[in-house]
Formats: sequence, structure tokens, C-alpha cells
Amino acid sequence: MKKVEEEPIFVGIRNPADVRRNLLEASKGVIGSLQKYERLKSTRGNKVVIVNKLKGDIKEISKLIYQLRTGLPTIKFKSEPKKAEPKIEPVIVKPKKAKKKVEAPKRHRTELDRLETELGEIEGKLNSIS
Amino acid sequence: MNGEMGTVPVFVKITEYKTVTSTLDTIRSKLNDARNNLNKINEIKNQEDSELKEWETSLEDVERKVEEINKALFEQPSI
Repeated sequence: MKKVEEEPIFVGIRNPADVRRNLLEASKGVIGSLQKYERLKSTRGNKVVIVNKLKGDIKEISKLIYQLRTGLPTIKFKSEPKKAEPKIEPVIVKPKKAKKKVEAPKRHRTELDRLETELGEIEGKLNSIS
Repeated sequence: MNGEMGTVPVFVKITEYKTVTSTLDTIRSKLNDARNNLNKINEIKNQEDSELKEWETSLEDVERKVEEINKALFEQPSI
């Protein structure tokens, strides 16, 4: 397909030097922006390195705390005696045919799940103390 | 019962006393490292913010220049 040629239009410029200066300064600005992008990229790279270091520190602290817990003896607090509950007549309910549910085996799908389980265990232990 | 247990002093036997104290020291040292790293991350974050701000200023400058070029070429009264 042949490209339709546009007719040239002449535009008058009052201050051609200003236009040229603006063009050059805009180019300079764009190159400056690219330089800033490179600097930002490098800063972000440094941040990732230190965040990973922090992650490592925290993991190690977690291990050490576990080690400390195992180094100390476990004390079992006696739980409060249960109050005698009033006797309730057993109600006989005909068992319904339960639908067989195939439960998926519990797995720690993500690191977050694993941490949540660990947190739950610790909270349980804390509740048994107070 | 639980309350009593909480207030009465308890003596516990620590078989590996030295290991426990050494572990505690290591934990303290690691916590210090973590604190330092967190401070560094904060510094970098501030640096990142200022770099982004500079970037924004630079882009605004280019926008102004392009606008001026546009005006000079197409928005001026005829000569």
C-alpha cells in the first residue's frame, strides 16, 4: 500500500533558539530520568539484600528461641478443677446417613500456614499458664 | 490453683546452664543485628523516597519543556 504523502506546512517560530534550547533541555532531562532510574534500581537491589539479611536474622532468632525452650525444663501447671456439670438426659437421635466426606490431608501449604499453626500452639500454651 | 502457681516461686533445674546462657547471649546479639538491619532498611527507604521525588521533579521539568516547545510551534499568534 502506498503511503499518502502529507503536504508540508510551514510553521513560523518566533524564538528558534528558545525552541532548540527547550528541546535540548528536554533531552537532557530524559537522560537524567534514565540515570535516576538506574540509581533507584541499585538502591532497591541494596534494600532486597538487607531485607534478606533481616529475614535470615529473624529465622535464626526463631531457632535460638526454640533451642532455649528445649534447654529449659517444661513445667506443667495443674488445670483448675472442672465444676460438676448438671446431668443432661441423653437425647437419642437417629443417626443420619452421613455423607462420606473425603477430607484432604492437612498439609502446610504455605509458610504462612505453618507460622499460623505455630502461633496457635504457643497461644494455647500461654492460655494454659494464665 | 493456676493463680497460686503463678505467684509462688519455682526452682527449676537447668542441666545445661552454660548452653542456655550462651544461647541467650547469641539471641541478644542476633536481635542487635536485626535492629541494625532494620535501621539500614529504613535509611534505604528514605533514600528511595527522595530518589523518587527527584525523578518526579525531573519528569515535571521535561513536561514543562515539551509544553513550551508545543506552544512555540503551534500555539503562537501568526507572525
